[in-house]
Amino acid sequence: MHNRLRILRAERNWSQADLAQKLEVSRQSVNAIETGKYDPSLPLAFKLARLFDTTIEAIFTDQP
Amino acid sequence: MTCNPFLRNTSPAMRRYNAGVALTMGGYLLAVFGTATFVHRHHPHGITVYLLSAMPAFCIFAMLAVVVTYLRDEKDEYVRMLMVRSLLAAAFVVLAIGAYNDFLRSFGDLAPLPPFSQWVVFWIVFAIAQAIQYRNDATPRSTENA
Repeated sequence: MHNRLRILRAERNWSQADLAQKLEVSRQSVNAIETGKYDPSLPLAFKLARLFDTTIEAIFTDQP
Repeated sequence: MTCNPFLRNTSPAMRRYNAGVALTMGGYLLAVFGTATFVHRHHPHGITVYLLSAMPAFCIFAMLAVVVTYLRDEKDEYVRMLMVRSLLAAAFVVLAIGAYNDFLRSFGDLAPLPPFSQWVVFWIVFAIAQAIQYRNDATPRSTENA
């Protein structure tokens, strides 16, 4: 699974810690999702989409 | 034996877990040394032995309850997954050692493992697994804004 999390985060000038705080998860989790080590659950993916005011598909893709 | 060897996660569930582990571990040590001293001095038998043995065992059950409660309450799904992986690694090693030892005892007339060794091995492997996973996840603070 590929994602645009780092780009979306950079556009808003948020650090991983900022995003982690908004999502109520650890920075470690944000880093794991960002680097593709971990695919989030649907509830967390929806939370991310809402936070970035976009759709899940706009953040996550199955192709690079 | 703490869930997070580097104490980076400070979720309410993790804080309760760390407090619970400290409490049950302290209780366990007290119960073990207390009951061992009592047994050594008074040589009890019958129902007293059953009751005394239940005291440290209860602390172990409580420790397992703390782990289960943490897994139920932790909202950070990734951190929870890391802990589940570590628990599975620990269970795998303990079961593998136990099975191998059982065969050795059956075929080689070997002595059984010392009492409580499985419990100790379980938490050592758990701690190592946690440390490895957290180390693999380590990201320098300087790159977090990249």
